[in-house]
Amino acid sequence: MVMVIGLIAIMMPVIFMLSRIGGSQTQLAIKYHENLVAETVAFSGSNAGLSRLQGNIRGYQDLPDESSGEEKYALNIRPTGAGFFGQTLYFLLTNAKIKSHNYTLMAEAEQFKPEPTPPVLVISRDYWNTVEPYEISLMADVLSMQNYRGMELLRLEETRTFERQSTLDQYKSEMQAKKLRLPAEIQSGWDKIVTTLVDEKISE
Amino acid sequence: MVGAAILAIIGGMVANWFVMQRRYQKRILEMSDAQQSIRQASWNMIQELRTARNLIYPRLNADKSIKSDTMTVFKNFSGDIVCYYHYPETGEIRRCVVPNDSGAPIIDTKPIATRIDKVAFTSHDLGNRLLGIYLESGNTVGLESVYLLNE
Repeated sequence: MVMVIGLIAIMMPVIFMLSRIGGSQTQLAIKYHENLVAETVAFSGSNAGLSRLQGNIRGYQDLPDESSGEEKYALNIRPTGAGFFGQTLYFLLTNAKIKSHNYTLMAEAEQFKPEPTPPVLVISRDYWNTVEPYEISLMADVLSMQNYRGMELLRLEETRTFERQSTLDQYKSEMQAKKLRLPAEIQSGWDKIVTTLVDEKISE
Repeated sequence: MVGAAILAIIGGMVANWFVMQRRYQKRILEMSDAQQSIRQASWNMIQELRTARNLIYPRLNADKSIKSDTMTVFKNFSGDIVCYYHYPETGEIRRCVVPNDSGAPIIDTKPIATRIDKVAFTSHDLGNRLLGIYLESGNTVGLESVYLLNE
């Protein structure tokens, strides 16, 4: 009897340890699942923001506690000025938070005037994302996000300028020249990729 | 004698239970490892793909049927060309950035995903904005899709 009790006393901590290891690995898998869910919820929040603009709801809107299924998202629509055709320009910000994980989407939106009734035309562009825990209703946080996003937009301007200023042959030879420095897995299909890039090159 | 026999039976039962527990734990560990690899890989790629601008490869076939490959190429938020490709020898998904100007390609030193046995990136729409991602790790599979938001 003593032996049996001794045996069980040794095995129980071992089994407990093994179950803990399994549990922590599962927790990691759940963490990435939550990340993806937070992103999806933020995306649906962004669509909800676009729907509001299409419904001709105008001006500053701060909705910090909206629902998408079982999860919550915050929506902030911030006017930034007027466009060339009289359309209103906005920053469209959405944030979803699941436990400690944050996901924020920031985009620009243009809301046109109703002609004659809603839905009005809305153009959204330059979506940018971050997992930093920004508070989208705070101007300081919005400015900080704008700065990070702005750096990437400057790079976009550089790449687009390069495409515009290169001739088709220059662009093609520049892209082809990179082939030898690519991994073997990409090299085999690179010619086809260059063809697509050249076909879709931005021109003046 | 009877006591020894009872002890042996109890010992056998306990040992059998212990072996079963170990097998069960091993199976759980393998599955959760695989799930973690798949989720991590999906997260890393979707983060960048969501705000990308244009899917360059793969694209629909000439007859408009879907096309799959073990690599994908797209223009990211900044307009540079990003490639994700599977490296079957090590089960890794790697990332390479090709500057969309005169710079040289940069291959990330760290893979964006490990322990991935099979990958298929599938183009789903004419507008080149919807990409399916199939991942397989061990006996576990994952299927995600991502819509490219920017133009």
